[in-house]
Amino acid sequence: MPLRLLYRLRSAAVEPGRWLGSWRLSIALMVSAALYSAFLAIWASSSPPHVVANIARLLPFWLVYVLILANTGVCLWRRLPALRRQVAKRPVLVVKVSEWEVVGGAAFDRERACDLMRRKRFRLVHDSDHRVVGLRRRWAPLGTFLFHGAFFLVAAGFLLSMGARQESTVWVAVGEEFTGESGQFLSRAAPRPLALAGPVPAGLRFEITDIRPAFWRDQLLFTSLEADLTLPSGPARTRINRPLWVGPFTFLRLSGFGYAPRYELRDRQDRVLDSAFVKLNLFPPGQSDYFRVETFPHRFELEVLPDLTFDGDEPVTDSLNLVNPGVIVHVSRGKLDLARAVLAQGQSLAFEGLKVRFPEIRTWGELSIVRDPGIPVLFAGYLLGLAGLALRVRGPRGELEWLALDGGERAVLRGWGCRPVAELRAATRGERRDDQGQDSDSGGEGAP
Amino acid sequence: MSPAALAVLWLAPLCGAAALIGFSGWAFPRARRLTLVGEWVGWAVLAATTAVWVWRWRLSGHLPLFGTYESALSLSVAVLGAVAILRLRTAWAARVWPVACGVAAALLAHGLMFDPTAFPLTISERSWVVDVHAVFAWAAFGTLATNVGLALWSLVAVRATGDRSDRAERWLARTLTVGFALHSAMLASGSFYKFLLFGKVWTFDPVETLGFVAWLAYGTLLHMHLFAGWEGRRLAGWCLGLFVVLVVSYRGIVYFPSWSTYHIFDMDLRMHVTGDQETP
Repeated sequence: MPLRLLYRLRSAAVEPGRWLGSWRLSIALMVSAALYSAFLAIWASSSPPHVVANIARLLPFWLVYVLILANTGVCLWRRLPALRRQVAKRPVLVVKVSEWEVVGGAAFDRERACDLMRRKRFRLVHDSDHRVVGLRRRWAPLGTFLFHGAFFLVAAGFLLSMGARQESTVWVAVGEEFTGESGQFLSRAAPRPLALAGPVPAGLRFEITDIRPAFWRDQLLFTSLEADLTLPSGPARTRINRPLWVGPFTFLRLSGFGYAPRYELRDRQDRVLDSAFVKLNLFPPGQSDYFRVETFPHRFELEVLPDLTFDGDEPVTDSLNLVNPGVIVHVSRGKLDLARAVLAQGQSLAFEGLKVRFPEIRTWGELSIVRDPGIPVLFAGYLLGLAGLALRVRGPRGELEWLALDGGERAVLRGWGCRPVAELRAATRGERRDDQGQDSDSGGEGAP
Repeated sequence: MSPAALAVLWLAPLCGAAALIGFSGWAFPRARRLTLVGEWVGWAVLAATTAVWVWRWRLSGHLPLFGTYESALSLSVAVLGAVAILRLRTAWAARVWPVACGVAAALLAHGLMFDPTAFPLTISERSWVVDVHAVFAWAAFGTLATNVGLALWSLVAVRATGDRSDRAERWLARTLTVGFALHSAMLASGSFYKFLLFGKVWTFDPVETLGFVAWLAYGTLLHMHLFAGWEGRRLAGWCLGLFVVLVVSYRGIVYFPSWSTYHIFDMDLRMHVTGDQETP
């Protein structure tokens, strides 16, 4: 046993290409990857997804990913000459020993053979008095190549995503214009090693004209959340599950929603001292957030009830729709509580010679600006892989050959990559070389 | 109990009874009438399950894909439908009916353990991509359930009855190939929707990881079939074993904690409606 192992190791060292391109290595790698993934799934039951993602980036996992790609690459490279032969226009299987053969009498003539081949979707590639050859699923071998070749696009997509993805988050209220100024960002991605450009495309501007959330009954269950935007190129709409592409690798993603009340701070003479919209994290109802006004020492802590009503003395919300908003406001200065009240629209709260009111509440949308050159590459890989499977799944390349024997007295039909069809029995009434001719369907089984 | 739950409550034992009749046909191959009755009961079960499925669609106003209960119903229709399609292609496939009925009975019984209330789709399921993803998932499961039916027939009944097995083997390989392709399409469409919803294509959500495990496992088996020449009882045995992995990947996600996954199967209801959102 050790000698055998030593021999294997030596041969692998001498011929690394052969070792890398072996199907046994493919199997070992796929089993390893399956076991690793099963381990990740078990881990996911006790750890959050980002921890699991970090585990999946550990060295043993990388080793498997790299070896799978190397194995696939070597296999494809070594089979390339065979692929050229396998997708040739001319018949290539007829030179081999046929998989089955049926001999018929004079009734099974050339016309009948041609008709049979056409009905079974064989394309006639050679047609003479004595010989007819049909071919179908010519591109099936290419399917295997496309499917496995897609792994490289998918891997490239993931690598590009890991190395170049930049994500920034902004909160933009209805009516507000996003201009890309640094003060408008809630968070900005750190520069990435493979990123060729900044996190936000130069000149990206937009204005949110409307945000429409919809809820199921009175539950915190969104049934819709969409935002209307005005871009320099014209109006556009995005939904929480429909990103808006604003460049070849850049998209806007609506990822959150909240309330932006406008406060008015007035003095005793009812003159407005200050007024502005504040984008606060006040959704869902019950969530509180606060703001301060520059030059004033006060802290305003708010809760928004979008559909204000009273259950006895208790302020509650009838629904999650912003139809009759009320604000629970708590004003403090340092550790001193100054005032607390529930304000319906038009009402104000007085404290220390000032009055605060909230005449208007708008909504804001959280938008992620994502620049990720890996995503299109990855989806191209998915499409290529699925196209490959679609080509391959119907079965391998099939060829049929009809030959006239004994001056037309007899005829033989031979097949490769396909099964004898039921009509043959009626057509030939002859001897059969193998017992598979009893099958009643015409599909290939997908074997190579 | 709601009418929807009541209907499925009747369907589950009906499928179970159909499976028993069908398996009796396997046990007594000379009782041709029993085999015939098994097949007709299989068609009847398919009709009844499809009728309940359509009714559920009308009741909830959307394709029945929301939650474990609806998914069980849809998967049952897919399993029975896949066998019916195979049966229309080849009369021989009638032998797979009992396995399909048994799988459908198990799925429906599992679905009954969950809330049958008809919820509207939340924002995260309102997309044609989700529908496409669900249809691929059902088709893949149905095809691979048919595959397991053929495997079981190859393993058990062929030996008992002496029935020819080459057709079972050929269809075993074909359903394996088609099931793998459909499962791949399911993973790709799911990943695409993940991007639409979260801006990322893969986040190691357990449902993705489990689906990937099943994909790798079936891919490995296909390689063994194609390169190592695995056929017959060995291939059938592995098909049977891998179906367990597939079932875990489809039905096991509901047993993960709600914070660990965004795949629905009742997670969204637990997080948003019942407030089960404790994180570790």
